[in-house]
Amino acid sequence: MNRDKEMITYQQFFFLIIQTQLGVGVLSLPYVMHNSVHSDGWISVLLAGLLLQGVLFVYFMLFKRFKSRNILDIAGLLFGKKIGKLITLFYILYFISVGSLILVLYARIVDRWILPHTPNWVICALLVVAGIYLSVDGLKILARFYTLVTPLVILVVLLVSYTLKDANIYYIFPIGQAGIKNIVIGSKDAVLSMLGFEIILLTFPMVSGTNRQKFKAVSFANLFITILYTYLVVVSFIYFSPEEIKILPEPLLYILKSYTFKIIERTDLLFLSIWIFLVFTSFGSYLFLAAKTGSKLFYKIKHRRLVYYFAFIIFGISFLPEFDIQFIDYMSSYIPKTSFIFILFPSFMLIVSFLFKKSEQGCEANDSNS
Amino acid sequence: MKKFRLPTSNSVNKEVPCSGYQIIKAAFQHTEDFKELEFKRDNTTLLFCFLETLISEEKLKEYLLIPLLLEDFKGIPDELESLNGKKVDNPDKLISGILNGGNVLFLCERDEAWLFSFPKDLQRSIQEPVNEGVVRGPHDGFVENLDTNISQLRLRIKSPEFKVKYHELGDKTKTKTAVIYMKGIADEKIVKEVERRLSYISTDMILSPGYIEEFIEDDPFSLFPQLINTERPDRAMANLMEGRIIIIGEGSPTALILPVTFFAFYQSSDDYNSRWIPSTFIRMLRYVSFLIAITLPAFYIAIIAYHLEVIPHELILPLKGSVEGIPYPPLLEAFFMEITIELIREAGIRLPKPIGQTIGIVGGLVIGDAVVSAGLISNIMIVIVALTAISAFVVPSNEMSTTVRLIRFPLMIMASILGFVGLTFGLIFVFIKLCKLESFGVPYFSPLAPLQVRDLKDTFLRMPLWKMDERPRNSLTVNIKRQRDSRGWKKNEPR
Amino acid sequence: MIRILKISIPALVTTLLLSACWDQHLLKDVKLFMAASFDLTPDGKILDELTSPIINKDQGGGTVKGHTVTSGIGNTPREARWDIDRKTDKIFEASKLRVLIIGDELARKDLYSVLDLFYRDPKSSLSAKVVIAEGMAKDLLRLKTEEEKISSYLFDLLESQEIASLIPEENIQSICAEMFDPGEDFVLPYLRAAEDGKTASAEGVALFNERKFTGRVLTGDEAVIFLLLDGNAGKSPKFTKKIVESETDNFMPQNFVSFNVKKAKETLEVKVKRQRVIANINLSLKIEITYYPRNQLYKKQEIAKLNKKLSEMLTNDAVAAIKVLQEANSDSFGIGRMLIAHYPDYWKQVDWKKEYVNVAIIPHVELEIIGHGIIE
Repeated sequence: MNRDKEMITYQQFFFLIIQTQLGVGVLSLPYVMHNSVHSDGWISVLLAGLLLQGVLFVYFMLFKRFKSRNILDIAGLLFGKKIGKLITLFYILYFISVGSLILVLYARIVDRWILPHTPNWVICALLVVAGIYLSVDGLKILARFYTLVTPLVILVVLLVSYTLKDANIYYIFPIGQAGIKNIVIGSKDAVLSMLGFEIILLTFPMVSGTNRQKFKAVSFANLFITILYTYLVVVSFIYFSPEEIKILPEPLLYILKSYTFKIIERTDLLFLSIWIFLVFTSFGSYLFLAAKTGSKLFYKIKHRRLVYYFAFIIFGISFLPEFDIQFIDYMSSYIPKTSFIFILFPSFMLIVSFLFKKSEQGCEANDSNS
Repeated sequence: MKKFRLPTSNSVNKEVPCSGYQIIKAAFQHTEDFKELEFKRDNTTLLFCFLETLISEEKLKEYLLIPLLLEDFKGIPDELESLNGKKVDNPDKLISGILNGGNVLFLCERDEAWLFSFPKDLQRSIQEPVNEGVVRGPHDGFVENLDTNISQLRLRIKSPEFKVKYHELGDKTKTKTAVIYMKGIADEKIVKEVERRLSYISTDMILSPGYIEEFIEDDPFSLFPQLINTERPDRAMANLMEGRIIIIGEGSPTALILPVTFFAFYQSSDDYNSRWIPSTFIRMLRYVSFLIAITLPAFYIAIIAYHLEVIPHELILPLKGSVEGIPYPPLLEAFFMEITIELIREAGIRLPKPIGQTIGIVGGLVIGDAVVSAGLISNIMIVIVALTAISAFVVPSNEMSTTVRLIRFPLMIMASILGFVGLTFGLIFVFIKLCKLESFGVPYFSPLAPLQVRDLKDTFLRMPLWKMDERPRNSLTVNIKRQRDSRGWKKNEPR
Repeated sequence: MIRILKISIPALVTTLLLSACWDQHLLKDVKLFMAASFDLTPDGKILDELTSPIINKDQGGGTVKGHTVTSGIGNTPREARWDIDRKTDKIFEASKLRVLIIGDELARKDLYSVLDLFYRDPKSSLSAKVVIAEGMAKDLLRLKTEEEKISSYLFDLLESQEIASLIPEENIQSICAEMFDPGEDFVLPYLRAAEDGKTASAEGVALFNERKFTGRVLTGDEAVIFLLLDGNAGKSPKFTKKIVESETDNFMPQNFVSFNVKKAKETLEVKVKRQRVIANINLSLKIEITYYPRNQLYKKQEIAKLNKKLSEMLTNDAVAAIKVLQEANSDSFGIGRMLIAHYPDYWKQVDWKKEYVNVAIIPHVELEIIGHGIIE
């Protein structure tokens, strides 16, 4: 493969990460956080950002030991080819399931908020086709597109900030009422809302720049997302009273519903359109990741083809909720839970590599021996 | 000077043995503007062959016939040889020479053939291009003659780094095409790439640069133009100096500029002729016009057909009143008006100018008014379509204007199917396409995607000229530095 | 493969085109309802009335020629809506609602049971103004106003009174947070139809306890000072106060002063002392005299006197307003919310609805004249 074609800069890496992280979850983040930690949810988000930084550091250590390898190559080196392939398979399944979860949740929200009568498959098909179009041509295109749409995040922040004039700061007091234990436990949910940073695992070697620069980009992305999420959570917490937020699954949309401007009323529809961009970027990333991982396993099939196949599978999965309405709930509770395995697995690999004193050089020697 | 008259008779001695002559004679069989003149001087037979429709008679007389025939013939004088004559052995070259307005002189006894070039000056005078007007700035334009065009550029750039490479394109038409670039500023790799792509052209005819454009552009299926067409020498020159490459073909006043980005289509040489603050404002206006032109009708359709909650209170009743009783869905309404406008536009171009204007007025006023009072179209829709049409024509480039007008149709369809969601996805597709496109290795949507902050100063803004010390990176120039502190002077400097 | 994509996209688009546009909702096909009223009928059902402007199409677009009122009855507001829908000639569309009027009978029972309709619907207009009507709300919709549209008449009336700070600026969304909050209650504007059946007048502030209208209304200066204390005042609250008593002269205007509030700053301090809640509300106002026939404002001590006098009078008004609030058991200052924030332990052990009447709410109004028009 032409490596140069696939390389992105570390600045683009930043945008790639934040756009993958910002997605479906952002609309319901305050709701989720309030469910688990009540008014202290925002502390959990901050804490989650901190925890995540630790995880990112583990990734960084791993990549430092194995230069210019992605996680699947490293797994292959550490555990042997057979197990490495198995791990690859699991990662494919994981990316596909996260992709379909995004698709299903997105369809549900669009269905609920603007297009109640449009069949879900049309709404899904649009996202899938657009996702294919974006991810067939490699990481560079993804990075360019994500950079292009990032200013929309600023628009989101501005729109949401407009509601501050009617906020009541006392709704989040007293700080710490949930107790430290709950806050820590709640940070688990916050980490889930930040999912998307796994993209680092596969794309880290595809970024040009020194390790330091790359790690900086990753850390800044984490900082950005943490601050943004904390802000959004705080704004919704001080706008809605604690009792009210319990019945609003998408507080960030609801918050804008009553705001009108001279040229446009119902800003929530504008917000929803921007949000579709954000969802689309996450979906595109996961589709790309699935295909990228897939090409390690099915190396005879071209990336382009894999994107088509996986998109088709994801599209197929999006039909399942039509048969069983509970299915979405299963998906949205189990997939994020299993994702912990996948985001923490690299730290296990790091430990293994320390224990067995394996690093790139050693492995390559082993590799050539075997 | 003595009066010299061209002999009119075609008195050629057919027996003169002269190699090459027969071949030429055969090639120009049945070609009645092919002329041969034979003169005997001393012991030499001079045989002139040329196409009288291509050759400039004055020049032929003045430079060739008079010097050769009025004095004793002792061979081709050195002055002539150095002027524009050369000895040619290959008969094919002789034929192509004649076709290019040359005159072949056979010296039969010596068995030599000389080719002199006296092409007829067939060109209109230099005028300002009508389709690329500027308010302030040079008012000359390219013409159909390649040499004139190159000389226009050379007059502007007096530098030995100004390089011209000729290519003959079209198997039959043999259109002379020049690839022009600035050595040391333009990337030679792109020049090579251009020449590589040009070398594949094997069509028999090159009608216009549009032909070349289609043969060498990166993505022929894309709606977006990937080369700029211009008839303005100043625009061509500015692009040369930024490290871009220019292709000009014989017989067309249009130059192709490459590699270009999307934003280059929105720059006009007007921007650099006026001061930077108004220029920035106008440039911003153009980008706004792009957004209006592609999204406004779609946005309106989405609102009218799906999201009427979005309409402000003050507007809802006037809008409602205006669409009340319109028989067609908004999409059809919009299509009807858009197509009407396109028809008016096209008719206006084809007709002679005075009538064209009348058509515009008739179309704009009468149809617009009548259609509303007949209750076919709502008057708000007329406003929307008119605004869109105006926005589309703001683009300085005709090609981009066409593109913009076309893109809005799919967006309108998307919006009429799924409202804002459809419009959003339509925009997603457009922007992905813009991210994917590349023009000779330059990302088409740069400096936005990929983000190139330092290039933004001449993209969205038009920063003061003395701030732009560097050439734009998106021309892939090899020499980034343009100037150094052009405004280095101090206000109160001692004299 | 790219070819397949290129064929499939147009194919998809055409299929979409050929099939119906599922959510299409053409503006020309809808009947816009712009003001709504909800009332309780004697047999416990909900009576919903909606007005819709009649639009006459003409050359220059459309003009409004009066309005229609449609009414429907049902067990729930939604059912009443469906009843109206059955009587509507075009597609029912209430997402551009501007004014929502609730009859006081219904408001006394439970306001949320009406508003649920709006909160639940993604298309509903949450920016519509909510008001409580004296008597039946439908009477307000059936006013014979000179205006073509009753909705904009009511809307403009409310808006102008919001600026004058007689009534609070609230919409369906903005009361929601307080409705759900145990530590704060909301207030709404109170409207009354005039006897002649032609105009409506804004009366003041209707006080709520949780989701129920208490039946108490703050009117006149009490309403204005309440909104100032609550930090919810409009742009230019106005007062006219009698400053000189017992003048024998029966030409009254001499005894009064009128002023606008230019700037208001209020602070609410809540303390718990010996299990007793004390709330201090400090309000400092910067005012501009707009009417003062005794024109002696060039004197320093006159101004000082006036400052003191007016401060006292407004404090008295505030005390009166707070008394009404406590009688109505309406905690619209959000004292409970402050307790949750600062004294969570106290809050947990107290039955706030019982305790609220015992809270000592002490208003303190500080007034300062900063302007006097263009004469002194």
